Amino acid sequence: MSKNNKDCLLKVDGLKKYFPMNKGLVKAVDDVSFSINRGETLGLVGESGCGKSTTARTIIRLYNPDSGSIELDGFELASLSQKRLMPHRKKMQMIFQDPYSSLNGRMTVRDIINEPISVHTKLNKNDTKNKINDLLERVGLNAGHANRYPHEFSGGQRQRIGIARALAANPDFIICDEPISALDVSIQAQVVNMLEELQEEFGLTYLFIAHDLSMVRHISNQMGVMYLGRIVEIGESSEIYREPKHPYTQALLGANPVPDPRIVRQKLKIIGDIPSPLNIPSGCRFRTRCPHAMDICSKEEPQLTGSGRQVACHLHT
Amino acid sequence: MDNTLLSIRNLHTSFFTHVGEVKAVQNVSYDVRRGEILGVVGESGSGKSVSYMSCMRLLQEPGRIMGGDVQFKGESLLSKTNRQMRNIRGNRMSMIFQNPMTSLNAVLKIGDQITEPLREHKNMSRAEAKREAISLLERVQIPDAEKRLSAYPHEFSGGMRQRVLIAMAIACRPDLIIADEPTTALDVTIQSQILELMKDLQQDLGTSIVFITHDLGVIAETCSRVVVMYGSMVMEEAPVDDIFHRPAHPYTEGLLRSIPKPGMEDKRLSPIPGSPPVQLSPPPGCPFAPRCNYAMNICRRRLPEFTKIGENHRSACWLLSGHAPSNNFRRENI
Amino acid sequence: MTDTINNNTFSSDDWDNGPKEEFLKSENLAPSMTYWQDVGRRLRGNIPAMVSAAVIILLILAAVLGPSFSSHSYEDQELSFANIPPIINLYQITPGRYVYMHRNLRLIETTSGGDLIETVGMEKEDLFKKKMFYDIDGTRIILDYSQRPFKLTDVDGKPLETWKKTGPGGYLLGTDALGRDLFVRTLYGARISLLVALIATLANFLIGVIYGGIAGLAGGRTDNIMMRIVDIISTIPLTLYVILIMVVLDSGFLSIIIALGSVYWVNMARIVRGQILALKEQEFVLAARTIGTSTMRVLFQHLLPNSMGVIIVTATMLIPSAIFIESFLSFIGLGVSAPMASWGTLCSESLDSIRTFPYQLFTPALAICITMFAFNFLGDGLRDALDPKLRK
Repeated sequence: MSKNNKDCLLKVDGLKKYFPMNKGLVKAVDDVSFSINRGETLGLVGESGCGKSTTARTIIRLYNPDSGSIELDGFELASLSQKRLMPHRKKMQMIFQDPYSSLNGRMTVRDIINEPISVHTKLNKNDTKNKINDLLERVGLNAGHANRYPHEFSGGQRQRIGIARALAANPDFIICDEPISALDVSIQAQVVNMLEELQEEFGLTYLFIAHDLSMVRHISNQMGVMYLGRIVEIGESSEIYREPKHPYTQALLGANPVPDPRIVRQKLKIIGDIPSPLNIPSGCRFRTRCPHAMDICSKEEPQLTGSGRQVACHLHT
Repeated sequence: MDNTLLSIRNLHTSFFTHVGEVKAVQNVSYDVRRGEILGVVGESGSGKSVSYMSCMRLLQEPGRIMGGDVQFKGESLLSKTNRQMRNIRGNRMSMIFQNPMTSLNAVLKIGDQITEPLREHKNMSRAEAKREAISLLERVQIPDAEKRLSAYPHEFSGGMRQRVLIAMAIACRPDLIIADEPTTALDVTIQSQILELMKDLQQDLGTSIVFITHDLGVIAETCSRVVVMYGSMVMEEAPVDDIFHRPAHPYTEGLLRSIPKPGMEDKRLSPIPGSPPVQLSPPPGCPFAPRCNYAMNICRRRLPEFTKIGENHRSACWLLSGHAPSNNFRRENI
Repeated sequence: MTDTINNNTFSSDDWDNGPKEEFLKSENLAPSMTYWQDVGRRLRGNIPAMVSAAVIILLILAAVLGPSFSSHSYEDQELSFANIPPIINLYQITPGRYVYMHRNLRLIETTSGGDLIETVGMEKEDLFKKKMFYDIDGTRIILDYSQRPFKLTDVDGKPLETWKKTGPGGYLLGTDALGRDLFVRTLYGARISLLVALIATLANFLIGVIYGGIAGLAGGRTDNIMMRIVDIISTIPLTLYVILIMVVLDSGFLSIIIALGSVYWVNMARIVRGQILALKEQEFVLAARTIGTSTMRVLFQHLLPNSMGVIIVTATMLIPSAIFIESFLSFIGLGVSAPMASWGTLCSESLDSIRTFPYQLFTPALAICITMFAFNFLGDGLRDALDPKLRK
């Protein structure tokens, strides 16, 4: 991506994360590169097991990457020890999928939101209290909720608490790992709108992971499609949505049900299941399910090509 | 009205918990017609699943049916004995559950699980049942059907397991299949395959399918008629096109505004404010009133009655009542 | 559907837009109930568990305070009053003079209330006829042991009538073969058992929880090594430890305490490790790690509080087996040494005379049973209360 380096907040290059298993090596993230501009959102989509969550967790260093670089705001994070990483931690935070397991049920809302504040700042008692109250107000709750326990809240409210916790450290970059997929439809929109408002207000940068393509299209400027540990297509999300180039992107978009019975989308039928990540097909990973598979697809792994909009497919080289 | 297969009338179901009675289904009435795919859409706690557990008489303690009737092919299901119900379940009506991982017995071979309803309800011999099982697996497009009979569930992927469950559900050629969120646990490409399969089977067999889901996209792609539930009640019942293009209930309208509109993804969403109701002590009046943009005083005082809007289209909302003054909602939607 | 409602049934303001709801700010949440309040509520509803808890509290009170209410101490021997059962038959000889016929052919004079005074001296014994002759205040009576059951007769051979049945004064549960008060000794046994329970619990919490917590949290190679150590410890029988420790230290009881304290935490360590491994992948723990919370804080603020339910249940369930191990070791002679009493030694001492004086076995055995039942029921109740999902 030939963007101006100045407003590029996160640059991931050649990221790899392998998990050794009894039966072999699982290449969960295999050479993933992308960058996100400050104040923008990159959506990462793909089916379960495609490595999108592992990518996110490696970027935030819940996992140590096997190789590649993670550059956040000009600092290289991939090789830092957990100790050296500490001062950078507050710049990136994460919002999790399951509002039930993402909050410690034995802690009050105040203690939950206080955790990043106490780790990363030296606020006195009074300032901390004010900050927690401000955060609660900002996510649509109120100060009176601070002494309550998570199980007293609905799923949507719990997700708001999770957002308040992520904001507490004043981060620049937030990873949203399927933040709405566990919520009811009417609540999803509330959370998405709040994320958009917070982005405008604080100039936040998001990595938004989801499997709901229309929501990703709605919230993100850029969009990356992952399949078996690799990005197969990446670019402006409106463009990808309008004209998907990679057969897998086409299939994914075609399979996404449209909430309008009058629109009958033409579907690219793909057959079968995702291959086991232990047994990745040779050449192009998608060739076993691809209706356009050619000879070359089994021999040579296609690389992402193009500027701006990049596709890894032999049909587009 | 010979066209009616299942008719639910004034169904009430409650759960008696230590904190009190939770009314999970209140005064629910509608029909499932022969050969249709009916979508039942609602959020968690709307009573969409409980109403079918009640119909199938599969309600677990502390749940209890408090009133109403369910007629299946003209016969009341609520007055049947357990033995008669067992003969209907899996035979005349069958269910497909959400989680394909836990719906199959992990220690039994797939073949044994598919032949079970056949031998139970159709009195087939072992060989007949096996032949039938192979043709069922082929029908749901499982390759190598004969070999797969002796496989165990863990050897199947999620999508394949859901196919096996569908094969089991259609084994006895039931009149009605109730599919409770059958694709929620699956990936989109697999979901699309399963939805296609179910639509094909429905065409071939003429079975009625009730599709319980929270996903409006799935509803739009598969169903011909839709029942919208909220707060344990039916809010609206209409053909699928009306639901998406002429929603006659503010809740339906709100749901549609909560998801990105096809072709207008850049627009801000306008979500329904507030949280789903807690059913422990529901206020009088419409359950949606506290979150409704158009709520009037009467909405908080009295339950709205159904108003008929068109052929097969009715909605329970005071805005549509003949007594209501002219209002924006009615002007924009009806 | 036709609208049959008459216009008159509506009030005039029905069709006005009412006040808009203020969401989230005013939303009524259920009254605040912490996890532990909720657990307490569920536990109070469980009658067997509550009865068990009451039994355990009574047992603790009795063990701590009980002995001070008795005039006897656990080691006071009164050989002349040995093997007195908890209920004795009194015979009235003359008004004011009462005797009790002991099973080992002695007459013991008592007060009218059953207090034991002294052994009555025999006048003469006819070994051939198997009769013993006594003279009490001029009244002659005969203890006839020629045939069972032995009986007390007057000079004409007419059996005396039992005047009344009563407890031997001061000895609530009778005495043992050395004339020691069984009641006090049983309470001392309870002290020993509860001490063992305390030690086992302490070992579980101080060593087991922390060991398991660290193993689970560290994972990988550290976890592997730590768990292999646990495996080795748990394969060596506890009896062997006790004997080995007894070689170094003399006192049996101290050996048991040391043995229990040093190895009894392995089950807890395994269970806590399993819990931690499962919780470690939960999103709230991941969240803490992305925040940069220190490892120790993750362990003590997130992981252990969420494992506390399982820890408490496990500790409660391990107590009865610890008590039983101590009783068993004492029973086979590896436990507390005389004159100290534990339920196990009480059982073993009573075995010598089980046919003649079965009550001596009955008391400590019943004490063991009740205690084990109480802890097990309480453990079950706690498990149900702490995690309703586990209920089966």
